[in-house]
Formats: sequence, structure tokens, C-alpha cells
Amino acid sequence: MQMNQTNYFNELERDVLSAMKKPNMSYWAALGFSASLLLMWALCWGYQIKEGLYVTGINNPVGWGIYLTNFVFWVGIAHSGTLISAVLYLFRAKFRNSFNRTAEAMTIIAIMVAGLFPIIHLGRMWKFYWLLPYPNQRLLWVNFRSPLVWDVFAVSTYFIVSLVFFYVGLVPDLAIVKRHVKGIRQRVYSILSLGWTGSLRQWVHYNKLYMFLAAFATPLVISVHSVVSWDFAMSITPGWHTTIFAPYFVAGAIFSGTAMVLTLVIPMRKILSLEKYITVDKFEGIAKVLLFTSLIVTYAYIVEFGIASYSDNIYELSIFKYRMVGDYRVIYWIMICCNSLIPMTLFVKKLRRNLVYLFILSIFVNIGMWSERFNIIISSLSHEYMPYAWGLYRPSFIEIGIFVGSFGMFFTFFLIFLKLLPVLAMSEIKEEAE
Amino acid sequence: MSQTFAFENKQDFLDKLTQLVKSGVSAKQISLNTPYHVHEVEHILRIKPSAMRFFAAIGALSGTVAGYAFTIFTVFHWPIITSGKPLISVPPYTIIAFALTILFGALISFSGFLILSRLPSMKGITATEEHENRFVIVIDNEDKS
Amino acid sequence: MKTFSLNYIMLIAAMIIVAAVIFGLEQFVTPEQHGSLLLTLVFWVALVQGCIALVAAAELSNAKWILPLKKYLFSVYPLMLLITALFVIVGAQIDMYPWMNGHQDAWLNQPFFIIRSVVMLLLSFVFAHLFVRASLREQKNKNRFAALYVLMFVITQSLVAFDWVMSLEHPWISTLFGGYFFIEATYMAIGVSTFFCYFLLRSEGGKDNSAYQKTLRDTSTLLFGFSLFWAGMFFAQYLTIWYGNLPEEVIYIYERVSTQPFKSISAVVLLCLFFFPFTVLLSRKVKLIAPIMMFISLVIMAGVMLERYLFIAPVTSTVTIEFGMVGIEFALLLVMFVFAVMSRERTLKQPS
Repeated sequence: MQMNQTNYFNELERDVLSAMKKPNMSYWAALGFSASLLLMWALCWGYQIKEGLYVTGINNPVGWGIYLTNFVFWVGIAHSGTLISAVLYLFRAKFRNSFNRTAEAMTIIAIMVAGLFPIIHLGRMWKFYWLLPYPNQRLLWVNFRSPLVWDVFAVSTYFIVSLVFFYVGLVPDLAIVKRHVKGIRQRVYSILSLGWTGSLRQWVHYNKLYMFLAAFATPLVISVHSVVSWDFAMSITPGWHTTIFAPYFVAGAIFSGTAMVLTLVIPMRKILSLEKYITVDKFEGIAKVLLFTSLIVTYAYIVEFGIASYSDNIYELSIFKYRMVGDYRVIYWIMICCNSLIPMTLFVKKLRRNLVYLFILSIFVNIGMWSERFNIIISSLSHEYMPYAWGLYRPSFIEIGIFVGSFGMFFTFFLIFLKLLPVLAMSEIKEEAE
Repeated sequence: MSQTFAFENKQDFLDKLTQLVKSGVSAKQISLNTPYHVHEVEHILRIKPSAMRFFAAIGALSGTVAGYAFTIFTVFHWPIITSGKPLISVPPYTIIAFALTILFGALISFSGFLILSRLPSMKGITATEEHENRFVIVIDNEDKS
Repeated sequence: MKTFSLNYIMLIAAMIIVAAVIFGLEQFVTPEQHGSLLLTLVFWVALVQGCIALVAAAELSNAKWILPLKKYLFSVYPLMLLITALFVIVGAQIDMYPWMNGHQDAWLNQPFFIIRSVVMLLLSFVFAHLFVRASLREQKNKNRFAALYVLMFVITQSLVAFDWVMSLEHPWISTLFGGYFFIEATYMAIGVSTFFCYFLLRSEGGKDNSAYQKTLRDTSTLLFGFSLFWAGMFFAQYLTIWYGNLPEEVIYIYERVSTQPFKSISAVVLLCLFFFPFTVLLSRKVKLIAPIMMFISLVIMAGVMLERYLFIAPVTSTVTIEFGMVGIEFALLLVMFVFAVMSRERTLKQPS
């Protein structure tokens, strides 16, 4: 224990909050680039709303193109935030406090990005509220047996609970920020911090609240991606209708989300000079989570294929063969390489502690997980039961523009977060520093 | 009349607190401000367990009930069989009930926290006095009775 | 008081005797009554493998709470040899598998079926042995053996699920079956840990046992988490099959919920594995009372046993499984389990 904790705490606050100072040129450049992608996203969507869905590549039989791929991808990215904040909190994993704030912010932003995709996918997007359960003119309610309605419930619950969790985690830190800023900003932060003073009464209840929120969020994170997987598994389409889908999707979501955390935090640590607080040891912890989830995903690949060959179901087997050698084989093998083979290198301790390697790997995993969703959605739809109704799908420029633009939206919001809120959970690091 | 002790180290703070409690200062007179939650304090001052769990339990339970009630009520409002599933399809409704359990549980816990810890507090928002990063004990000597 | 214990050789001798007794007993069973030994085995293989896997998983995630329980959980690993021997006896009764009468393909045929299971059981014994040794000696490479053991555990439990149990209903499939089995195995191992917590607390009665109290609380919390996790796994399978409503899939559930006694047993299984433990464990106080925790764990294990009965019984015998036979075999394995735990100090002794 340090003799003088207060000095250390002051130093910590200075280091973390210096990230919130006036941005430099490279920040503006990054923000400008992301914002221009966001603009492209808006223009593409605007064009699609004006023209209608014919500007996309979706067709019959492939009615779910990369919009739904992106939806699943972004919802998956969101998952690691809750995993790192809630699940690792309950398991008392020490490495979490270097990542939890960034990961939670990522969760919120990724759900917002994801939530737009089903709406983008609608022909008449202005009717999206039909999905919500409200008594309409004919007194009809939504069909609660439809997986799409489950999605509405699961994703919006996830968004609200994550937001509460994020905010609750921020409250003591906002009170710290308030001390370090002046003028109107101080007013805003003191209102946002709800008048937090760090008194005993506040801490006692706060601690319990955080524990309960973590306990609520843990089953929630598992349920949300399960529900997303059931959008597919409830159908009887070969390659979709399989019981392993729920845990397999959850593991995949955590896998991709953790990779995205690495993609964001490794450069952030460098640019904001937070090396002292986000140590390499903590990255090793995250790398282990990445390896573990990669193995689960690999297990699911093997079991799915193995069981398809075990059963005498020709439809099931033919779709798995089609994925490997059919029209979308390139995507399939990218998926296998990026999700199963390359992450195996993390068994080597040296590589787990090499940040440049981790950064490159995390990008491969992001690519791999996007390919996995593409592979699941598109290949199954294009080769269903009846050969007469087979068809191929190729995304149009508008779809690709919206897909790339969604990254612009994600990074724009993330960059704004970096300047508005403290990127490390300072109160927790103080507690750990004993 | 109140006394303030400020420490820059947790151990000194705890020692002083233990000593104060031993010398007969009642827990009601003591108020503390710390940069993070010092768990040992709960032990020293014999703080009652937080009532948060009642809020969490009530929230979760009301969510479950609301989820099943809502789905079942609406399906009878216009009974129509879709995709050959029974009107009261328990497995799908469980998903809705589950989502609402979590949602209500989290929101009611959060409101419970605000109520129990008296937040948002105008006094805290407008406060000018700051304890910075010190561990502070304030003893209120006034007799409130 | 000196407690009863065996050394490694005596333990192996006892296992040979038990294997011989069971082999003898099985000779009196008619082919219509096969299945009792399989039922006993699918329960115990999960429990024994789960115990080691729980330690391995905890070591890999640097969990401290497992440390006091380590020796107890480790002590059962030699039983994997007994299970391997008993599986060979099941191999002789392979006629109960429906695919034996139809065509046998590259995966489902008698020799390969037996060989792959025996090999995997032996391999998991070997890796368990290496892991136990490395862990007790605090070797640097213990995590490597832990990871390898977990790998063997996952493969073996998947084989148990897909081969031993699922292929009874060939060509019915559920891809989650393997995952479901190794989650259940871990669930049971956590349940058994509460018994060990109780013994620890009792043996150290007078001393300061706050560390053991902590272990008990963490074990109980984990058990609570797993009750919810189990429900998730169950629900994921049930919902997919229920919603898809494909005849070849729902038949499996239909067989088990439409006729007595399976109908009642299904309800009891759900009660034992989810509703009862979940509701009781919501309370914070219960998690610190060892006897109640032991009772909950017993309920969970009974639930798993009943569930596996439900998997096997509708297929293996036209009437029902011979209950007396299951009773004897189950009791013999239970005795061996207890012996192994009691002998832990001698069997796990490490030459320094």
C-alpha cells in the first residue's frame, strides 16, 4: 500500500482527465474522416428511402442481405461491453477496470448502430413503429410469438439496461470531472453527477446497486444474442434450425466484441498515454477471453458440421457442403482462418503480450466474425430446400456504402465519447490500487 | 459544532475511525467521505445491510408478472392462431417475461438507489467545499434530540 | 480418530473388484433390460470428470476460492479408470442401440464406437493425472495441463452426449446436446463441492474458518449462476425444437411428455434442476448454511439422474430399466467415490 494515497489519486485523475483536454489535429482528422463516412451513410440511406429497396441487392430467395448481417455483427460487438463490465465484475477479474468504461461506451454506441439496421432493411422505414406493442386503431397487438418482436424487447431492454449501467458507473467519476473543469462545463458535470459527494450512505447503496445491475446484466447479455440467434433458429431453414445456435451466437458475440475492444483500446492507450493504467498484463487477460471464445466458436463449427454428417438429413448436410465449396466458399474460409486458426496463436504467451500482434489479430477477428454472419445468413437463404428456387446475392454499392458508413457512425460517436467522458473508471482503479 | 478529520491514507483513516467508535462516538454522529468504497467501514460502524435487495426483488418480480400478463392479456384481446401455435404459448412468452424481468429489475433498482442515497441532491450539486481525494471523517457534536 | 483410507494400489484393487462384481451382475440381465449400467455410467462419468474440470477451469481463470476444495475434487480422478472398464461392459450390450440393426456407417459402427470412447476416457484419465500432479506440485506448466484436460473433458462429454445417449434415438439430433452435457457435469461438480465445503467447515470447527465460509459462499453463488445457465441451455434446445415443430425432432420430446411415468418425471426434472435451486438460492442467507446447500445439491444430482433416466429409458427397454440393478450399480460407484475422497491424502501424496 502506498503511504500517501491522495497524491496517487490526484496523479491518476490528472492523467486520465488530460485525455479530455482540447483535441489536437490528429483527433480532428480522425473525427473528420469518421464524420465523412457518417455523411456517406446518411446519403446512401436517404437515396434508398427515396428510391426504394430495389437499389439493394436483396432478391428472392435471399431476402436478408448484409443489412441483417450488419445488425447481427453490431449487436455482437455490443456484447463485450456487458461481458467486461458485468460478468467479469461478478467473477472479480482484476483486468476488467482498464477496459470497462470503453467497452460500455462501445456497447451503447454499437446497439444504436445495430438498432438502425432492421429499420434500414424496411421497405417503408417510417412504419417501423408497427413492431412496438401498442393498441392500434384496429385494436390489434403485435404477435408475441414472432422472433422479430422478441428482438424488439431484447434489444431495447439491452439498450436501456446498458445505459443505466454505464451511467451508474460514471456517477462517481463525473463528480471527479466536475472538480477539474470550470464554468458552464462544471455546471453540467455537477448536474450529471447528481450531487455525488462520496459519502458513506451513497457508497453503501451504490455498491449494492452496481452488484445488482451486474447480476441483471449477466443473464441479459446471454439472452440478447440468444434471441438474435433465434431469429434464424426458429425457422426450418437448413443451416439455421439448430439447437446450438443460442450459445454459439453468444460466444461469437463476445468473441467479436472483445476483439473490437482491443481494436479501440490499443490505439487509445497509445494516443492518450495511459500505459501506466492499462498495463500489458491486463491485455493478456483480454487475450485469454478472446482465445476462450474462439475455441467455443470453433467447437460449434465442428459440432454443426459433425452432426449434419451424423444425421441422415440430406438438406442439412448439403448446406454445410455448399458453404465450404459453393459460391460463397471464400467467405467461409476467411471465417475459418480468422475465427479458428489465427486466434490459436494466442496459446503462445509471448503473442498474448504483444500489443501490435493483438491489434492486428483483433482486426482479423472482426473480419472473420462479419464473414461468419454473412456466411450463415446468405448461404442458407440462397440454397434452401428447392433447387428451382435457388439464387445468388451480391450486395449493391448502396448496401456497401451503408455498411462502411456504419463504421463512420460508430467511430464518430466513440471519438466524441473520448472527449466528453473519462475513459477509465477512476474510482475503481483507486480501489484496486491499494 | 462539528469536527473534521482528513487523511491521505486509508489505514490512518480506519485507525482513527476505530478509535472514535471505541471512544463512544455513535455511528449516527459520524459522516464519512471517501474516494472509493471502503468496505471495512461497514464492519466498524455496523452498518445495516442495504435495502437495495428489496427494490431489486420487487422490480424483477413485477417484470415477470407484467411480461406474462401483458402477452396473455393481449392474445385474448383478439384471439387468433398464428403458425399453429397455441394461444397461450408459454415458451415465447417466457422470452418477453424474461426481458421485462431484467428491465424492471434494473430500473427499479436504480430508482431505489436514488431514493436510498437521497440523490440527486441539490446540496451536493451546488456544494463548493471539496474533499478532493482525502478520506474524511466529520463528527457532528450537536445533540439533535 | 484415524479415518479409513486406501493407498493408490488398494484403490485400484477395489476398482477391479467392483468392475468384476458389476460384470458378474450384468450376466444375469436379459437384453430387454439393458440400459441400467449405461444409465449409471452417464451419471458418474459426468460427476467424476466434472470435478476435475471444475478445478481446471478455476485454475485457468486464477480463481482463489477453489483452493481449499482442490484436494477433495482431485481425489476422484482415478475413478475414470473404473468408468473406462465399465464402459467396455456396456460395449458388449451395444445391441440396445437402434443403429446396430440398421446400416452402420463410418461413424456409427460397433468397433469405432467403443474404441473412440475408450481412448478418450483413457486420455482424459492421463491428462487428469498430469494436471493433478502439476497442480499439486505448483508446477509452472500446470495451466497447460489444465487446458488440455478441459479439452479432453469437452470432447469426452460430447461423445457421451452424442454417442452414448443421442445415438439411442438415431437419427434424432440436437447440436447442443454435447454442450448441455458438459455444462451439466460442471453443475453437478459444483454441487458436490458444497459437500466438501461442509466437511471442511466441520473438520476445522473450532478454528477460524472464515476462509472456508468464503469458499462456501462462492460455491453457492456459482451454483445459483449455473441453475440459471442450465435453464438457458435447456430452453435453447426446447424452444428451437418446439418452435420448428418438425415431426422428426419433436418426437423426442413428445415421447417424454405424453406418457406416464415419463410425463411426471419430466416435470420433476425441471423442478429439481431449475425451479427449486433457483428459488431457494435467491436468498443470501441460505448460501452460507452448508446443510441446506448440501440438500440443494442432492436435489440437483437427483435431477440429473432422473433426466438421464428420461433420456435412456424410453429406448433401451420395452418395460423399464431394472431398478434393482441400477440401485446396486449406483451404490457400488457411490462407495468407490466415497473411498476415493476419503483416501485423498494417500492417493494424492506427491514425492517432492
